[in-house]
Amino acid sequence: MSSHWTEPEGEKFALGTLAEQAHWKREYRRIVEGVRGRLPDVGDAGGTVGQPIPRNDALYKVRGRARYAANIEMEGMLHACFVRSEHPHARILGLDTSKAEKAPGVRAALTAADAGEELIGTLVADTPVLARDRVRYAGEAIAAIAADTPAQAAAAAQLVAVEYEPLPAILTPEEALAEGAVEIDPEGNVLIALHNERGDIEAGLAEADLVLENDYAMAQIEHCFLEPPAGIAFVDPDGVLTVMVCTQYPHYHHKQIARVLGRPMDKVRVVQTVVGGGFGGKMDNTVEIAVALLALKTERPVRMVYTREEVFTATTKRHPMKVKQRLGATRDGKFTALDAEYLLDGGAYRSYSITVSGRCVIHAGMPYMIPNLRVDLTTAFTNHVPCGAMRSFGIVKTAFALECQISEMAERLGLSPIEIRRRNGFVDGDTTATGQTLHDVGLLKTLDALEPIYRKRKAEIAAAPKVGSLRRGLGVACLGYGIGYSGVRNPSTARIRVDGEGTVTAYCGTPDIGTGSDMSLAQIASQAAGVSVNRVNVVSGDSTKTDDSGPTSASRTTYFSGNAALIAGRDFRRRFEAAVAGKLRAPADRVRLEADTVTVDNEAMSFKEACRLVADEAPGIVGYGKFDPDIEADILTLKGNPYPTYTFATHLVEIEIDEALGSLALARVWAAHDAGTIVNPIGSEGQIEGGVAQGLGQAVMEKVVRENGYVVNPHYRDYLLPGAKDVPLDIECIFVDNYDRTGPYGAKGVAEVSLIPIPAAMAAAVADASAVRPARLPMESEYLLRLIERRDGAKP
Amino acid sequence: MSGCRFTVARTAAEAVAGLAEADGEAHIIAGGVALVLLMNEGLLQPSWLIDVSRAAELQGIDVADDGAIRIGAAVTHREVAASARLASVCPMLAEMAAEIACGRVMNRGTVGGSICLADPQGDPPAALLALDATFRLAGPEGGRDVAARDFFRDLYVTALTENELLQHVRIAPPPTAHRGTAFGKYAARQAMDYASTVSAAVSLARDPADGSMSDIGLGLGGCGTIPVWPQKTEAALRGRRPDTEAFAAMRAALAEETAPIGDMLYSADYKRHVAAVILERTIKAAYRRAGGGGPDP
Amino acid sequence: MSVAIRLTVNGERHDLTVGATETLVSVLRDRLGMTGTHKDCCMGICGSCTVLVDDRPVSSCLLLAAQIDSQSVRTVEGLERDGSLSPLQEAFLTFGAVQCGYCTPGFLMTATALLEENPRPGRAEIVEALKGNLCRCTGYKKIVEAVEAVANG
Repeated sequence: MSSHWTEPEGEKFALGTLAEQAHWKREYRRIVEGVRGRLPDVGDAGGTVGQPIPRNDALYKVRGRARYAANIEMEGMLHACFVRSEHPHARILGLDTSKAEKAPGVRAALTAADAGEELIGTLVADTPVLARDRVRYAGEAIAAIAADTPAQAAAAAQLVAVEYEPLPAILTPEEALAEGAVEIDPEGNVLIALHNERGDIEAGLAEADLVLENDYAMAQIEHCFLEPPAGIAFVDPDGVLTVMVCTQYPHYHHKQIARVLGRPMDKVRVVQTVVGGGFGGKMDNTVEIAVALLALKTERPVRMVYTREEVFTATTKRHPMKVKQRLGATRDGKFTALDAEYLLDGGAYRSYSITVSGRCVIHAGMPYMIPNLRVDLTTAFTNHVPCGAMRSFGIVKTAFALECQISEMAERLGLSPIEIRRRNGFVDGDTTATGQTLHDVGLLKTLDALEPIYRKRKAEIAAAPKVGSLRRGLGVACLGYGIGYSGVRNPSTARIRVDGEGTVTAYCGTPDIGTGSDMSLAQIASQAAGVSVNRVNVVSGDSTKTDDSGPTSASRTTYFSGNAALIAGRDFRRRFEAAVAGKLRAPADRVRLEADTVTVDNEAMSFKEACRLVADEAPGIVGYGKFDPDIEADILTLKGNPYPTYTFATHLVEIEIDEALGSLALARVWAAHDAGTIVNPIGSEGQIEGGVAQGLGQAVMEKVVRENGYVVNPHYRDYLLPGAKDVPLDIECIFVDNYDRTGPYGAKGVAEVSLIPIPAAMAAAVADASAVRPARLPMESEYLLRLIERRDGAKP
Repeated sequence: MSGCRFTVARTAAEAVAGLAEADGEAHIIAGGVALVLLMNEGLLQPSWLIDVSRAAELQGIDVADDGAIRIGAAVTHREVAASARLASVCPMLAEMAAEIACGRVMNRGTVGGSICLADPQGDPPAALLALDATFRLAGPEGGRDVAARDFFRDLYVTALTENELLQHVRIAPPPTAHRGTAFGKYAARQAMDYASTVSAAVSLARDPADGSMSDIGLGLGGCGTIPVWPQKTEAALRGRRPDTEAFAAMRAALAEETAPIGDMLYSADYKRHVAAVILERTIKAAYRRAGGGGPDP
Repeated sequence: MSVAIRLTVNGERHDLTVGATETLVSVLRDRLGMTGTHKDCCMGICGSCTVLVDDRPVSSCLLLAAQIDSQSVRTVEGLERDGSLSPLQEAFLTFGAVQCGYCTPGFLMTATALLEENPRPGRAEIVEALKGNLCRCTGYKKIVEAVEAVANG
């Protein structure tokens, strides 16, 4: 092996010399103390849960020293790129890489023949590493090239000759499900079909005084994390094939690489690099296997960095979805029945479609008590880039349909949008449609928090003079969201160690993907252990240093890993106290570790002194925590307890619409969340504000445009993202006082959910302002103008 | 390393000489925001670049005492937006430049680049059509003037020959007092508005005697395959007060002489509607600046 | 064809031979190893690659290095002074303006130029200056607040 790895192994940041590291550690502490000094209420007993502690990774990010995968250079490193399908659906009749292999700088070409027989995939392994005899979407990887420079690799990729026999491309779920349709998958075109039912739907509809029936449609969305996927593979001096990659789930890749390459688990290591945004889009396969195979083939480090165009054409997306739905209610606004049909476009492979589909069905009707409910879901294969996980796993769309319909119901029944939700919203002891009994539900508190604001603004808007074609309106939408995997156990573990100098390291498998979860875990672990948060380093996202604790997704890290860190912290404290007691020959119950101080009877010593005392035993003082709540749901009937807890929220939004153009702007947001205890308010507010921006994008401007199986807007010029002038600064985060008895210090999690209510609340606000009811996403200005024209009878 | 040649032209003459030597193979580059984008997209692989960003005659904004304006082709949008003198004689130009894309583009992008690219959605071309500007082209025969209204020929095709470059833009002093100018734009997002943008530029004079628009110049972006000079719409408005009837006539004429291109965001029909709304609002703004009063749109 | 240029990058002089079509972002990242300037869209839209050329923000992906001979370039690596963060860097840290961090260097450079030109911008001026930089994590509020805090000193 011609190369070597000279920098600190797996460090996420270019930290500099030891002296520089020490200096910046002091700088960070000085800055944090400055912030904490401004806080009125510093937590108890050295604990920091609930305090807005600035994240320590930000120090390196503001200095430009974060080692995103594309920033990592190694001696002798090659650059790789994929050769991708030019057809949405075709047989591959021939593949010739010989010209490419002779091109300048090329060191290797990789084809299906190099990749073995194993398929890859997150839940079901159904995807070839490289397409062998058929391509199922335009952009599917067929071959990969490694060369001395990225330009040489890209040029050589053009020389790979692929002979295709085009097949009919299936472009919609309806086409896929039609009789006689070409089969995309060996098991047919139905990717998954699910059904759930409670009560008697027909009786429920009959009992209703008013039944609304509507159709809704939502376009495809791209995550648009700003860091294109990238990774680098090399074999370390011990023969361990190491893949450093931006991912939400390093352990998944570790296992898969070992399986596909037929390598022992201990000869593979996956290190998560600093992740430049995930949102569910970095839980799947991108560069990992290809760079690993190329590194073995060339015996050189190999790096691959996606282009932005590849992000659009070849990474997973949010599912396009159609909803057909009936909602029944009595005259006094009590829901009697919900009958929903969901149709999703899953794209060419399974990815996380099964998870998304399951979550949509489980959450149907959430967060309301609807006694009679029926939901049918079909997700079909199409010849489009696969759809997968994206922030909220589909619930933003089911919620859009439900909340739009509820807002319409409220208006038809003469109820305020808050009142109708209060009359039906979940409370403690209610059971969900899967039969789960709920605890610590703070939904009504979120409605109560917003009601006075709603009344006040409603009156103010009504009293304000109307200016030209501008109209203002208010809209409300709620959410309920299960934390963690759906219906399967997904434990998280943590280990806490100490060294003789008082540095505490917490190891946890769920990586920080930019949300600041490492900081939250440090706060929880340090408080549980009784040590200062400044001592705690969190090591996460390295597949050989941590246990598989699942991905950072599904809003699960604070709750699952937080609980594991809490248990590990307490275990550590007990073991440390025992070790000190042993050294001092004192009874263990007279030693207390608290607030970074060890007291033995009335004698106190600093934690650091105590660490020196027990230095020789320090490696053996390991706190361990495993959090594995009892989760069970039948995969067919979906009945059971699919999640350990649920988070709830209500958003109130104010919009302004220009009726002459149909253009819609979000003016203000009041976001009331029941996320239990807030571990770090800066982090939680940041999640909510970011969620609002993503919700706004999905509501008014974002859509992947597909024509004949091709993404025709694979760049930010025509795929529009909201900028600083589009997102309101008036976003008020309201955390209602609630404590989840099962959460770490009462916390639940807030990451994904903040985007869910925004599109529905904006649609309701449009109805409030302009008396039209949007039923699709995005609500582009042309669409809204047509609704307004129809209202005015101007056009049919 | 690419085989592309790179020449820095310190004067317009050097650039013209370079163009002649390259015999049609050279591309003029100033700010680069459009040209390098095309290169990054793989749509252009230049064999010779002639950098005019520092060429002497292409610099500077001059405003004469009589209000005549000269803007060098390599002047950036930032310079246009920041020129107090320009803003005082022609508010529309500063207003237009300040809303181009964002600061990064304003800092590099040039007036000349925007004109020569001839993007039908470009903002400077629409403004210069409304102002009846004259473009000074430097070429092997010395140079020639082309009216902005004759410059844009077809999609990305202009009156420039392959041996010429744009040297500067001239705008004659306004013939009458009581003049007002304004620029208006609609975009789906509030910055980096490349997609589906519709813009309107208006320069008009108000007759203080009867309040009519005694003279009016218009320019439109996003309304066809080239930046559009809507002559019939001008004629429909000329001599009228900006009232409901005038705007009805405006809409009818506009529908006749604009053919927006539908795209993945908006239909042609919707863009035509937007153009009418934006144009009406911009006319009202210009009319107010001409001393005509009236409420904000 | 190669072009000899001299750039001052964060105060340090570099004599370089670059290709005619080589962009500034490539020179910074691939030749000088300064990876603090990020690359994403390569179309000048996202703002991840924002650097200052003669103190003005530009998209370094749309700028040919050959065009800026003898000019000065400033990047995120040049913001700190004598081992201390600049006030903006510190404010980004304490206000939670950083999440995934990929857009952060671009925002810092854009805001640095704003405050040098206009040390006391109002909220609307801050938003106007930042409008062309994309962030997918924060929703912009905490970024604007961080800049505002420095502006209000």
